[in-house]
Amino acid sequence: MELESLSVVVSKPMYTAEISDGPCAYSLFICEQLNTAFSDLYEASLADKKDLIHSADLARIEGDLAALLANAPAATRVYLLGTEKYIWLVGQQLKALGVTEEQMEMLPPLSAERSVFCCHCYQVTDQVFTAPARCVGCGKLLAVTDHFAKAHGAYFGYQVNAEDATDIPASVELS
Amino acid sequence: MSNQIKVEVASICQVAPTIREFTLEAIDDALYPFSPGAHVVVEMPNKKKVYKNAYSLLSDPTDTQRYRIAVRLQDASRGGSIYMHEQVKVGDQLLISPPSNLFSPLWHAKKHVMLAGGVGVTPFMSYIPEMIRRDADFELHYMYRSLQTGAYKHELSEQLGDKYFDYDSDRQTRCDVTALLSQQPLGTHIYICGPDSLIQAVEEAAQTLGLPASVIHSEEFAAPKPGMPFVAEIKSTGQQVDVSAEDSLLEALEASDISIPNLCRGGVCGQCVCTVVEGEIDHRDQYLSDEEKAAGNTIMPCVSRAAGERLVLDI
Amino acid sequence: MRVAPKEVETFRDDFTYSNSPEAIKRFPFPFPEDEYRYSVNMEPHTPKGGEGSAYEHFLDIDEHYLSEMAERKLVLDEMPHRCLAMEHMELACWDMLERLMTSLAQDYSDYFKLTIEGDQWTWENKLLNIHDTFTFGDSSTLPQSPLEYIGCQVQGDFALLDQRDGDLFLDAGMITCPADWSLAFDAGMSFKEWHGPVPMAHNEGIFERALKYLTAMQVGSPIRRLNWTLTVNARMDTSPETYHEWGHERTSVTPENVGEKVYLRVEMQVMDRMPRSNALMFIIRTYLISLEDLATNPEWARRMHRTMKTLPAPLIEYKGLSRYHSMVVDYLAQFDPAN
Repeated sequence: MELESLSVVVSKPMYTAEISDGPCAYSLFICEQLNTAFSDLYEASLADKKDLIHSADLARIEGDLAALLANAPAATRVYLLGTEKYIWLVGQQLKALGVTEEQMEMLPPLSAERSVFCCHCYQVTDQVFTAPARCVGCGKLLAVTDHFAKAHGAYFGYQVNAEDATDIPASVELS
Repeated sequence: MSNQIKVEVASICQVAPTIREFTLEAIDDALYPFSPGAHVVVEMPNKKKVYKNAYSLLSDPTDTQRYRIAVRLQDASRGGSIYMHEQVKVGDQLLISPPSNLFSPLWHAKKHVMLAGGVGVTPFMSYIPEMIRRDADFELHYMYRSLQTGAYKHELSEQLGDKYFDYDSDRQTRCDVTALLSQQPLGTHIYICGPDSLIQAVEEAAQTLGLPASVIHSEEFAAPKPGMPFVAEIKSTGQQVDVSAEDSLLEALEASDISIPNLCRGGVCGQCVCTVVEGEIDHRDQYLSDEEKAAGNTIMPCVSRAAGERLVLDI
Repeated sequence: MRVAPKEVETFRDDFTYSNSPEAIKRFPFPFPEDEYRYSVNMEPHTPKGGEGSAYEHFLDIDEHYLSEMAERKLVLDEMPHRCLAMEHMELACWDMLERLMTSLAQDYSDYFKLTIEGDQWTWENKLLNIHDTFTFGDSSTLPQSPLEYIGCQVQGDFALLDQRDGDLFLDAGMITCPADWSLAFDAGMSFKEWHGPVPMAHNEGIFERALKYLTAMQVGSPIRRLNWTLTVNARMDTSPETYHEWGHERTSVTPENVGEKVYLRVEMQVMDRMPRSNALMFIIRTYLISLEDLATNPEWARRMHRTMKTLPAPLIEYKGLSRYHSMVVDYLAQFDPAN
């Protein structure tokens, strides 16, 4: 058995740039930052009705979604672009409004940054590019795993030197 | 299976021209409560073989005094329903499995749309009381042929009012599935119980409209498939073991004092694997890969059987 | 119960936890063969081993009952989030309460008594001096949520899995003695997601098979499997939440103290279908035994030596044994005549 194949953590989401473009009655485009590819996608949509939300403010998006989706048809499709945490947290809001994961098209996240859930204090540290990373909640130095929780939009982190305080691995860039 | 429940037929009534309803009451232990959409497997001891058919429970899930099932008389290829209609009398005892459920409503749905074809209305009979208790948004679309089926249509119509829609193909009223699906709001889940043609029609309409497959649910019964008797021969000793239609190969081997290591007895764990040197296999397990099944030289005797009359096992 | 509950012993600080000779004798030893092999080692949860065995009843109440209930209270007082139930799991929690109360009252009638009059239930737990009357299905009539109320009276961790679309979701649980996983993080995950970090098994299709089997489980036919790891000191709460407090103990193992300091940690996992909610209840009942107590049974010591010696590297890493695995193998070697 290949060693690499052993280390795959199946909860780590996979993304593909290929967007499935099936039939739908309503399509909704939500992005944290608008880029040309995404606005092209919006322009090209042949749905009977379409909308575009461009906002990084999750509270505002929640209000917009409640209004836009209140009378949406079952055949709705949602396209999401942003950081990994953004797309999954908006995904949680969509799920609560009745959108299934199958109806969400998540584009590859805009950067390699991760959000990390600290298992000791339950705080999430954003914009993590390297591991180990310092927890914004309790200040512990965290190992960053590939175990991902959609509900938190974050990866599991635990104190990297809990067994031996002096044993701190060299910093590596996350991919 | 040792966990079967002995029940007595408390009453029988004709609820449509080809459908009979049976009320079953516990004899020894109380009945289990069950969840909406659950079914039981009823065992019918006939002369030659035991029929095992799955029937949805149509009583209110909170009623643990009795279970109700409805049986449609099918053509001769399905012997069980003929047995239920012709042999079973009030006061008879039957064995049933505990309830299991592969057709549970998704309670987080914003709206539930139930599509019933004929006797396929039965699982929804247990959905409805719970949906009313939870004040859920739902509709029942009931398709039947009044010369044969259509059980409970009057009480349903009365009880559900504008949530109830019926289509009688013996009176030329039909359901436009595409139109029905296209009107549904986001968050609707669709449940279908009826003939394959209805399930297919709904799935195709959903695909054409762009509804996700994960909101379409149809009933699948996990009824044990009927088995034919066969003979297993033990290569090392030449011993012949008769496997009846009711017993698994593993049970028959055990009854002949041939012990095989085993754990799950459900075709999953892989412990009881045996080598087959002769005879075709009817594979029914989840353990062997497709390649292993195609190779035809290993069998999981806890669930799989001979496809013909004889198997030779290398034990 | 053949082994009466002992006075409270501790699973932290001074670690006064110990096994009596009777508890050692009935320990659920998990290794069926000499070589380590990953398998779906599930079997029907039916009585096995006769009177006094850990498999005698649906729930096993043993001499550590009071100690484990006291430890659970310490964990929950400090971290209430270790018990959670999503809103749609309310009915499943009542299912669980019914299943646990009914089987305790039936199997351990000296200690537990349940009286049912319609929906008015009266529950007596003589070991913890609890005596309450409540309305079944109405959480406001209990001093705590149904999950917390009954969970604090039964040994083992509990998870309730909601079944939807042929998958199982971790939507409720009380997890105070886990082998290094966090309910707060994993809550809401699907079966494969929460097993995400487990090495090797995904490649072998084990989870697909296990899931098919579990989703088809019927009411009244529970199953069990044993899982295991090693723990330094008799610590019940080896959770990620407290890892910063216990992680350093992994460096405290020496060739001299390995026999008393390292414990074989066995989980008897029982899965049972809940009738009203169609949820699956998952009980994780943890047993701890020091290697030196285990070695009082020569056959166990020999078999454990061979299993530890052939344990694949990814599992040594995943189970967190890297720092002291070789000391365990060396210690057990003295009990194996093949060496």
